[in-house]
Amino acid sequence: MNPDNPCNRKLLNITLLVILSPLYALVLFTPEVGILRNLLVCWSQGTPFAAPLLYVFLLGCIASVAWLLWRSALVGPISVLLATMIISGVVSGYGDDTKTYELLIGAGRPMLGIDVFCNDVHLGKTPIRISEADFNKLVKPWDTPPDQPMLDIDQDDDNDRYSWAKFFYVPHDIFDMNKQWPPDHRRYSRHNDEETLKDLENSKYWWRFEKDGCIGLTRLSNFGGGSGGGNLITIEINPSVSFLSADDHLGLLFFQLEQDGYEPDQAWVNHFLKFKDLLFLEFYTFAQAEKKLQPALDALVRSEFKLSVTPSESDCQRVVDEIVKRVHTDACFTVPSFESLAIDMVAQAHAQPIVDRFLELVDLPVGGSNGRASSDKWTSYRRSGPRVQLLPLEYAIKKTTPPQLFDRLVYMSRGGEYMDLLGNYPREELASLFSQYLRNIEQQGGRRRDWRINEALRMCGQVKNPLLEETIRRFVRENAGQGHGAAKHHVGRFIESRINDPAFDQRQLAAWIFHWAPLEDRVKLGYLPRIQDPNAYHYLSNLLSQNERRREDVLQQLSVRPNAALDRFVVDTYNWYESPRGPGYWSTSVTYALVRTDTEAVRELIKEKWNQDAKTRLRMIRHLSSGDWRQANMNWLVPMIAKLSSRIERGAAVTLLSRIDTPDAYALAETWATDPDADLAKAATEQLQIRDQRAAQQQQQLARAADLIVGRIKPDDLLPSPTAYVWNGTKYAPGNTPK
Amino acid sequence: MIWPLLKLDLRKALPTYVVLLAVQVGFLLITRDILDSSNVFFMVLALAQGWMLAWRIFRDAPNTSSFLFSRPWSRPRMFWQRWALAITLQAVTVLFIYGILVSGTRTLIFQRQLPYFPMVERFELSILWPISLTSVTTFHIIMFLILWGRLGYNPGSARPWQGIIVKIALAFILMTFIGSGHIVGAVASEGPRLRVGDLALIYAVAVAIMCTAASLNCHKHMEIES
Repeated sequence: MNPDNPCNRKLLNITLLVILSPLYALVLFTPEVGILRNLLVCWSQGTPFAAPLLYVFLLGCIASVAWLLWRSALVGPISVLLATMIISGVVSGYGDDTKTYELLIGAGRPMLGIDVFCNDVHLGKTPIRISEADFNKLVKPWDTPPDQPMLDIDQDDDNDRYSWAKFFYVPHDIFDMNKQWPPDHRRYSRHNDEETLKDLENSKYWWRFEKDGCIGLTRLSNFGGGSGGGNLITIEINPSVSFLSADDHLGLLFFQLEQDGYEPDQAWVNHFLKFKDLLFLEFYTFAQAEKKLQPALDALVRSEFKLSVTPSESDCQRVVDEIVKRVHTDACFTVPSFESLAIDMVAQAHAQPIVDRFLELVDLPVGGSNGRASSDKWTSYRRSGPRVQLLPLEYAIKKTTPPQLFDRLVYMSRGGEYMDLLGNYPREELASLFSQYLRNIEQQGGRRRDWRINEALRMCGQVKNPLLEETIRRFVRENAGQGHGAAKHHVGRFIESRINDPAFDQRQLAAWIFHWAPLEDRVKLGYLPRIQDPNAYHYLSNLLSQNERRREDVLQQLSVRPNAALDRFVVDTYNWYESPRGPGYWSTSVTYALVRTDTEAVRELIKEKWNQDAKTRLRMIRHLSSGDWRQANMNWLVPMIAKLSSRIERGAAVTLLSRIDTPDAYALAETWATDPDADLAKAATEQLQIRDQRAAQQQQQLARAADLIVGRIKPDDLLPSPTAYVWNGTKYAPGNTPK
Repeated sequence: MIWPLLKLDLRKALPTYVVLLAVQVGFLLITRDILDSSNVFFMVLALAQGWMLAWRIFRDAPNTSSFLFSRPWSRPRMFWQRWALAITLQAVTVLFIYGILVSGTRTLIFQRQLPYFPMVERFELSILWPISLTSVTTFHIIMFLILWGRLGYNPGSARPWQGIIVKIALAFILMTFIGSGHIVGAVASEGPRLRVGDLALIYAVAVAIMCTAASLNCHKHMEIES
């Protein structure tokens, strides 16, 4: 430029700076090579001068800007800037290789807020993130193993008792284990009690867990592992903690609920919500099997989120905001949870708040990672960054398929990312979309093909759309054998998601499982008995014809989970047990299956045997008397029992009365209690004593439930007095350690 | 309106403009991909269009410059007319693409080949914003650099190679700035709720205002060889 030109040089330089601003921002902020970002990492790790060159680069960047502003020269500033960027990129990662560690405890689990103590120092409530430096400041190592106020350990002579024991204080030298190189496997070897005790003796850090005042016991194994990369290594630990009082606690609450006619009062609801994290999953599992519990579950969810039975749109908006906020704070979304149930409830009432929030958040930048942890009872979804907020909304969209989002989701799903959100929409256009999506996955090769196939199989289990069922079943049939190990697991989930779902024809499903499901016969026998369709009997019989011994496994299932549609199978199996082809012994599973199935066909069988000769009748009575069942539905047996005249038959049948456990049954017992036959009278009296014991037990339970709900006793007070163990220098021995 | 200048600019810009427009429309009608803001080919075409318009309209051969700047037209007036012509042509491109998309032409062509239509029809309009921003931003930057480069030179300079280095550096900057803008946008949006699109818009507006002001200043003080 001509130096004599009177143009406004300041304006020109500032304009150039504005044009170049992305380049400067790139040098300063880029995730991998950005100078400021790397400096921030150094500062956060407590080593601000770990990479001194970064300060030189920063000065170079500032010099470039200053030069540009001062002079209109272009070559100089840009050369400095580019040199800074290139050198910064080259040297990043070659500076300091000191590794720092941090712990992430209990993240992404269904139960959060567990109090974590290490060597009796309270570290906080899960999820907890703590650096090694902070941990070492807070926690001092213990030289000897602590005494255990509670220790759940087998009393037999097994030589591997400690591996399976549940500890009040559980040892885990987490940083030592992760920092060892090469790893000292012998130090942590726990193949037998001798090795485990040696490990306990050498342990310096002892952990314990509490939730809402309830003590958690933990096994040595399944404590967690390490993860991470680069210079900051995050060690995730997710110990499997058992809260011993939870079962008894829930049992009493169930009892109280039953007494209240399954309509919980506010005190019950408040008490449950106080311990919701401990009780929810089990309660939800029972509610899935027992529909009578559903109103109580709904009441709990409404109370948790202060939702009325017919919520307004503003209420729904408030709840959606609250759920999104909770998920953002916890950095995970668990299904089932209060949040998942509430957002489903809200979506059913008013979908618009969910749609609005979804559209607001869906444009957040894509990036970061997705994660998933699951068990049979729960699945916890994780996503890094602010997009974690989308998880509950996506779940609600899958469940309720708001029509106003359909077109947008089609647009978003063209790369396959949101196909799971779209899959449940009852729209015919989806059939070709879905076919194309699955065909693309099948046709793609490459290193990650197995992973993609498995992800698609997993999604197939989540999509429940009769319009797509044919396409999905073809995909599952043809591809499950090609994925790696998890493929079979996904096929299982796929079948389970359809069993007894009224949207799917169960007859066809049974036929598909029998003919096409890419599973072994043994696994198919696990699914067919659950299908509540009489045609399942046909396929079940066909599979069993090749291996009659498996009949016992199926019957075992039916005794736990009765299926009225398979009553013919129960009758056949009874006859098989009685026939010469049978196993030659009796199984209480048959008794349980008979009394719990209790259909017309089963009653006919019992009546038929009852009305045959005395020997057959006696066999039937004895079969029914085996097993510890309580089924009031068997009250129809009482008149038949009352008509028995033989002394032996009466003596055998009298024990059925407390199992039937109805007023009619006890009325008969009272009559027989005054019978001249002393043995019968004694047996009948025993039945009446059982009734009285049950009544007394019921009163006691009522009182304890009332005490529990009003807070007079704590959940852990329900436990029997624990045996304390003291460390005697070599092992744990029962002792008297104060709790 | 300065009609001779308009005719001159149109004659310079239209051939290349029409070719680029035809390429954009052709691609629009041929591509089987569902269109979105990450469509690199469209972004490159928009960048080329902005570059080409600035280059063809604001760059004059020495003898043309002598002729134009000796006319009794004020320099700001000449600048604003050329600027308005370039912006108008860019707007025409966007309207053309808009018209094709909203008329459902792509749906008619592809609905039997791709199952996505017509559900995605109106969402494909999302490519208009990035096309416009890329084209406008590139146009303003190139316009500024061309006019800045014409502020004058020293005929007797002992360092003629400096001009070549400057041109290489500028080309490098222009190739980098769009890509870096995306990365920076992603980084910045992790914290505050700023989206990449918002950042791009802010950048485009800032660049357009600054480059227009600076270019006008350069245009006023441009040195013309006689």
